Amino acid sequence: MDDRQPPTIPDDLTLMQSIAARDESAMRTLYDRHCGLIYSLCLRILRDRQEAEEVMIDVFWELWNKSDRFDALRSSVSTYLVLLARSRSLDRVRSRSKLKSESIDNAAPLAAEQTMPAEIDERRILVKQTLAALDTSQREALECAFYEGLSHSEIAAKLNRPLGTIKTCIRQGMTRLRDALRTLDDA
Amino acid sequence: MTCHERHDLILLYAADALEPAEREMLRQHLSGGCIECASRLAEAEATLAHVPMALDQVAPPPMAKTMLMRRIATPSRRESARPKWLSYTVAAGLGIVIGAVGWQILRDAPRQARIRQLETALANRDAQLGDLVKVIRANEVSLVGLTRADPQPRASGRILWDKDTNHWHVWVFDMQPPPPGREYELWFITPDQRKIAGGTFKVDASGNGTLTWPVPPNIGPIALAAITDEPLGGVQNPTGAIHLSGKVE
Repeated sequence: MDDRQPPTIPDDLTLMQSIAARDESAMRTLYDRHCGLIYSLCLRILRDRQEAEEVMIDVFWELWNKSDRFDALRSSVSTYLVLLARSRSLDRVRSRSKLKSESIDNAAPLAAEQTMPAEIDERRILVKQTLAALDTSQREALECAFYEGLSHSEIAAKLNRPLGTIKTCIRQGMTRLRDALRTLDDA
Repeated sequence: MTCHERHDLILLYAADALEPAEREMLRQHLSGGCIECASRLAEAEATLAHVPMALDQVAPPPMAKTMLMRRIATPSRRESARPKWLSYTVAAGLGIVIGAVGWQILRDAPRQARIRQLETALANRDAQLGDLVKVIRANEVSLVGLTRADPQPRASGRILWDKDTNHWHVWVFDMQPPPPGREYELWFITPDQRKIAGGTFKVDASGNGTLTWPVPPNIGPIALAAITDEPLGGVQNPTGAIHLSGKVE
């Protein structure tokens, strides 16, 4: 009989502790686990593959350098990476001298093998379903705030809606997403 | 503005959607150490961080990983067409300047880190004191003493049951840190041995920790309080060892 136990998959916090101790294999594991999400986020904001790659590398490099200061009580590793990637990507957009005229939609389509395999991930499915179920106004306001870094008055101007409506839409969208995630976590 | 009224603002703050004046007002409030608002912000940020999960994921180029690991493994070293003697001279001069600046930064870095630690500890201590004053002022309070179990050589704890608001305020002292990847969880145990999960908490470097948690409504009589170590985020049924327990009168 085979008595070997399957290898334990370390969680993100365990990996961060190893990374703080300068374990490069832990860094590779963490990168493999999160690179798809982070690169996709950078690509969505920057709409340029080269810049998305540069920002993604910078994000993981910053995580490596500041791993000993990571505060697990404050946020998860995933939250830290996503918010950092968003911030750095928006900084890069704002520092551009002119907008890129070529959007990702007009770029050459990705080869099939470059797309990440669809994971059977309960959390990801829930987020997709929850955001798809939002009213159009809620989803648009949330996406403008998150992916474009616009203030609520800028969003109101862009979407041609009253300021109060925009604040309500963002609040309602985030509340519904938060409640859906709480239901998953409590289950 | 009360913290309750700030809840909606915190959601917008997390989404970076506030106007500069509102943002600065909330930033100042948060930097004052408001535990409730900080907790709300952490939850809002965690919620927001899920938004990109709705994107169709695209794999980064394989070379990106190679470039990252190369940067991690070796310090940056740029090849130059300049004569090597010039490179060495410039490098030596820069080295002296950078060394002096770097030495100052290295000397200051631990101090800055320590200042940040102390600021956080002070904010936490203020919040704990505020909680304690509220409990002491309650009309009806009962005390539960927690005694240590085998894994803990020196730990102790107290629960103040504020019956005005029906909350348990838990203080633990001198606890060993939980095993890696785990945290402590509070349990309400009824006379018929039902175990209802309370909140989870960690302990600081001194082994001290606190938790305030509502007593579940309609739970009926409570016979025991217990604290176990559980996986991060807590569980619905206890799996870990009991570290502290106490009889509820």
